[in-house]
Parts: sequence; C-alpha cells; structure tokens
Amino acid sequence: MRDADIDPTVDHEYECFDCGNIVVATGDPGSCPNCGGEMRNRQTPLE
Amino acid sequence: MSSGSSGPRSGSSPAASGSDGTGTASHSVNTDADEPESALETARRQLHRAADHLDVDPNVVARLERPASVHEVTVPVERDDGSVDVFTGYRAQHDSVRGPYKGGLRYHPDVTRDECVGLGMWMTWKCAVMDLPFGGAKGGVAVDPRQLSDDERERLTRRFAQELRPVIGPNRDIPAPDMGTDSRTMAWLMDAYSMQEGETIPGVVTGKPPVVGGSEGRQSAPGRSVAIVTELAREYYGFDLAETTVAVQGYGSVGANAARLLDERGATVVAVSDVNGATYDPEGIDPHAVPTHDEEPGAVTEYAEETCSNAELLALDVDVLVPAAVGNAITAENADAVRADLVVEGANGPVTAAADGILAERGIPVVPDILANAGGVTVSYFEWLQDINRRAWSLERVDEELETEMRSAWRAVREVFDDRDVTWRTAAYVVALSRIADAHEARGLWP
Repeated sequence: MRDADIDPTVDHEYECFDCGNIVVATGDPGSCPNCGGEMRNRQTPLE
Repeated sequence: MSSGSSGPRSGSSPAASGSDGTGTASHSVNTDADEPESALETARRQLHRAADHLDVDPNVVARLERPASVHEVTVPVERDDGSVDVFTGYRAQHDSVRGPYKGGLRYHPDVTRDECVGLGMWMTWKCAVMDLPFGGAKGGVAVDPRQLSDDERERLTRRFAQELRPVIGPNRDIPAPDMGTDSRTMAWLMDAYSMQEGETIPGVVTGKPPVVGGSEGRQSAPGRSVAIVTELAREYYGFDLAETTVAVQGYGSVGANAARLLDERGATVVAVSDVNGATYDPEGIDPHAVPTHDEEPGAVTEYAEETCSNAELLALDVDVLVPAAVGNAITAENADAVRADLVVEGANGPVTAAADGILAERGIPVVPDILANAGGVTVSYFEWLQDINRRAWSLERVDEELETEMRSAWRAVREVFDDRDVTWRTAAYVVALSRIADAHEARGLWP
C-alpha cells in the first residue's frame, strides 16, 4: 500500500515524542532542542 | 472579520462517485507494470486476492469493497488576519464489525475522499491481522498545515473535531496522528470533544501526550514490531539472529529502533542509511552508536569509513533487508538487484506490487507491512485500553504486551502460509479477511 511520500528537499516538521516540541527545518533538526528526546517526522503515519 | 468561502477549498467533489467508495470494485488491476495505483485500488486488489483463497460469502466481500460511510465536512477557519478560509475534511469509516473504527487523521493538501476510503480499508486489514478489536478508518483535511500558524491549526482542529463529533468517540471511531498531525493535534481534538461532551474522554483519540492519557512506548513500537517479526521469520527459515546480517534503509524512528533491537537480540547490522546515503561495515556496526538522522543529520554516513548509496544498500548481500524509509523503495527497476534472503517491510508500502511479484518469482520472501510495522496501531490499542480503564501501563508492560501480540499474529499468519501456497503478504490478508468475514457471518445482516 502506497501511503506517504516524503520529499527530502522541502521543509519538514518534527515532533518530539517526549515533550511535544515542534521543530521546522530545511534539514533534520537533530534531537529535540528542549529535552533531547526522540523526534518524529510528522509526514509519517504512526499506525 | 471577513467572511465567505474564499479559502483553498479542495479535494474531490462531494458527489464524487464511479471509481470511489460506491462503485463496483475491479480486481483486474494491472500489477505487471509499476503504474501508480491508488490507495483504493490497492486495498480492493488485496481484498480480492485474499478472497480468492477463502470460501467467503460474496455478499460479505461486496460489503467490504465499500466504506460503511464517508463523512465530508466543511471546516471554516478564521485566519490570524481576520479573514476566513474554508477547508474540506473527510472521515471514511470502512468497517466496524470487529469494533470501533480506528485510523489516522492527516492534514495534507492532497487528502481526498478516495484516499481516505482506501487507507481506511487498509486499516481494517491491519487491525484484523493483529486481532485488535477495531475496524478501519482514515480521515483528514485538505490543507497545507505549513501555511497555518499554530493558532490557526488549533482552530482548524477544534472545528474539525466539532464537525466529526457525532461520528467519533471511544466506542465509535478513534482517530490518531498521521501525516501533518501530531500529539498536540490529538490533545486539541480530545479537549474539544471532551468539552462538548461535558466530561474528559481521553479514549476518543490515541497518540496523545502521556500527560493526558498517551501511552509509553509509542515511539519505538513500529521499529520494535519489525525486529520481533524479523526474529520470528529467521527462526521460521531455520536461522538464529546470531547468524543474521541486516541492512536497514531509512534510519528514522522505525529503522533506528528496529536496528537497535535487532542488535540487542544478536543480529549483525551491517548497513544503515538515511537520505544522504548509507554506511556499511561487513563486520557489523553498532546501531546504538549511530545517531538517527533526526538526532544528528549526516551522522549515518559519517559513522564508518565505507559508505554506499541507498541503491547499493538495497543490493547488498545480506540475510535481511529492512526498507524502513517511506514508500516505493523497491520497484520493478531494482527488484532484480535485491540479494537479501528476506525482506521485512518497515515502512508502509516500500515494495511496489510489481516488485512484490518479481521478489516472489525469485523466491525472496517479503514479510508485509501490515504485520511487520503493526506495532504502531497495536500500541494505539494499548493506549485506548489504558484510557478507558483509567490506568497507565509501564513501558515494560507495553513492550511485553506488544511482544505477545506480535507473536500471536505471526503464528496465525504462519499457519496460513504453511497451509496454502501463498506469499506472506497474501497469508496476512487471508488471516485478516477470514476474521472479518467470520465476524460478519456471525453477526448477520441487519435488519
């Protein structure tokens, strides 16, 4: 099943699993600047 | 405040029909070519492929070809400058014979009615193969969330929640984060629903922050299920993880967690990649020492001296290949180059239908996404259980229960695989359809 496409050349938003912080970045932002938690690219489904 | 409907209303027509959820399904879709197939076409093709192996009442198949209902709503949102934009939202509810509908809500400009129907059907199969007491649904708003401020996004979510309120609920339909939505979105949705209902109802959505009823372990769940299923598949073919080499394409949340757990269980992870390329060490790399692409951009390719492209990673001579990046990594163009003994789908849909056929002809088993990465929806089920019981689980309990559910699902799929001359993918769909069909036949047709 084709689900989500990600274009690595455009901005993406990343959600911190631990504190919910959102980071928008052209490249990936690294770990959460607030708490160091693991981040999720919001383009990806969780289920 | 201005008014009107000058906003970017988009999506399919409310009256859309034909090849949509009300039309007659066709299962003569051409899978020989790598023609893009819509989500709805894929879901129906998989339904009929499974039905061909079962003695299922044709009337049940006919019901499953269509969604039970599709709700289309108008979502007006006041922008920060006082103007009003009007968006279109959908919630496609496919089948609830086994329990409440379950599936994500996405904010994306390309959200359409048909896409929601197809992905909702897919959620029905995914929940059924895991034997979760849920049906399938999917929804969203046709909007580019990057064009909205945080306040606008919150207003959009709260209004969408109000429009969907009659058709969602902890025993009716339980949304979750998806493309463009996150735990904060779910917290807003839960709050809007709860305020209107007059009581706090955390079980109306999953994927919430832990402080309002979210579950531990959700970030690692899909990767964990990939690792568990990989171990079980290797055992099935007579190998121990200690003698297994693994290449992981896509070192985000799913791929990194799968690689780390496989390493902990004894496998040798020899290659991992992100969008910049892959790092490769035939002696093995320590996935715990490689930051994910999210944690440290560029670190993947800087970890080892030997690097290769993503295309070369897919062609490595390894025991297990885990495509965990998003979508269509293995196609008709590169399926012949795959040299792994086993492919385990970490992402949703990394192997196209045409590539699936090529790998099957070459005798390379593919463990399908609806089983391998179902840890995500399974932990959503755990979250729902915790919410309706008002009792939080420890991370250890979540991990233990996930292991139990994955092993149970694997056994069911393995029995079908052993009994019938089918692929692992078809076996998974046969398990799912048989459970759904049995439930329909037991309940009968109302009235």
